[in-house]
Amino acid sequence: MAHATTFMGYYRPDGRVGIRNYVIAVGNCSCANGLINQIAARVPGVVPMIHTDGCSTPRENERWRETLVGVCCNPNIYAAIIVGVGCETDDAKEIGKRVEKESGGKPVYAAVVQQDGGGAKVIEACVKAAEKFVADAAKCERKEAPISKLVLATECGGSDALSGVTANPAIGYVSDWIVSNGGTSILSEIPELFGTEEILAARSVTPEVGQKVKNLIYEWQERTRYLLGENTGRTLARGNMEGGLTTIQEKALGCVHKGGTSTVMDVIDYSERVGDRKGLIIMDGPGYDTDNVTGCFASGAQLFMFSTGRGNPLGYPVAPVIKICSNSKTYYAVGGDDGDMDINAGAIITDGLKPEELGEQCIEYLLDVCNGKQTRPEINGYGGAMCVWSTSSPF
Amino acid sequence: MKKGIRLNPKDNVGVVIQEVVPGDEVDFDNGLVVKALDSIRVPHKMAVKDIKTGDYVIKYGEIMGYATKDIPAGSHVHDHNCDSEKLMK
Repeated sequence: MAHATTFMGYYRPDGRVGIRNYVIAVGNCSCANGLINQIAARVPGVVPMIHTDGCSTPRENERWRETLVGVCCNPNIYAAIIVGVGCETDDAKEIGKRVEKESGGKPVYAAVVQQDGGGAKVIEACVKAAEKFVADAAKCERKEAPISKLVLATECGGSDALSGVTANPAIGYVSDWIVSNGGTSILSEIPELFGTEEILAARSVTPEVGQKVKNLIYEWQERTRYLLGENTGRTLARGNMEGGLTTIQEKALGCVHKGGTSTVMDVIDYSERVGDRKGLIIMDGPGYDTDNVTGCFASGAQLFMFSTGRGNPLGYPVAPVIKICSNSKTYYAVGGDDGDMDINAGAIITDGLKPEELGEQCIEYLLDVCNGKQTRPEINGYGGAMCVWSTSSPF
Repeated sequence: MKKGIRLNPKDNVGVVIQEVVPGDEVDFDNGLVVKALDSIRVPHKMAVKDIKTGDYVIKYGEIMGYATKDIPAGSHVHDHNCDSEKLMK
């Protein structure tokens, strides 16, 4: 089946293309979240991005800074309000300048409570700036863009033993289609790749990239061994095991299907910008979905395909997340066609749908979503906080 | 006859897609029919061959773990008889 080779999106100053057109208010650290909530409540159209950390954890500062800048620079964001409190590790106004520079001049307003007259004055100033940004955003128009402008991130959460049989191969089908059209696909959740290192290394573009993939997986295995000892093979959630998954390798052998059959082109850090990279990319990051989606979004993903067997409802506040369910029982148990899921991959088993027919349906669905169709998590309002990944505890 | 899925000809386990009770025959396609020894929920795994202690458990044609005890064909395969700890760094 021939699919469209373009979509209608929002061109940004840096040449990237958004599929949504958001104004966000984001805290430079979690101490600013009370202000963020009030700014968003006062200005309809502003999305509050609730930072779950941001200060007092020396080993994390660089990663968090890159993540915050990357989130604001993502092309789904038209403009950003950044609020600092003043005493935190990073300077919110410096972050704002970095966003302006990296994004090629995206509208940004940054304010700091301890420099700008206290919370009440900062809220008033941010509300004023946000009202203008929302009015300006409404004037943006979608224009035709090639598929090569798309960065898809693939996720799985609340997997069961059918995720790797029905839903993940369908995601892989879409990922391969994006790659074959010159776009980019991010595969991550490294603990959910344990046991697939030889498969991925053999599929890597050079031996050096293959070694990077292996080293990253081994590094995570050692971290897991340190934390779990003899239980290290059971890096699974309770729901995964109830869903029939026995070892992390079994889960991973299903998860890796999200990356389809494409060549692995490179390995990037958590939230490192995809930049000019095309094809299938592996991003460092945890299997915990809320942290992983933020990293992928900061890297530049405009949308997600997210498989689940148990019925995980998670979305993202500023990106469409297409939920694809591995089995019909769960699909109907969480609301059916008007419920929490977008696509029922369980139809392969219950309705005799062929895997390639499902893959083709998923591509058409994704194109509709790129052009503005709302996903079930967007309709339901299931985007959560801006959770950021940490490997260390705060001081 | 109940239905199951074996994903790769190398696999010594299959996924049941209908609830299974002891004595049920499960069709894993290509003429492979295995009589269940245990009750197995959807979508849990059944051994489709005898698996000896220490043998690899194979799914998707790849190693997903090893047997921690002898697993006769028709048994439920899960954390009580399969682990992967020794496969990790």
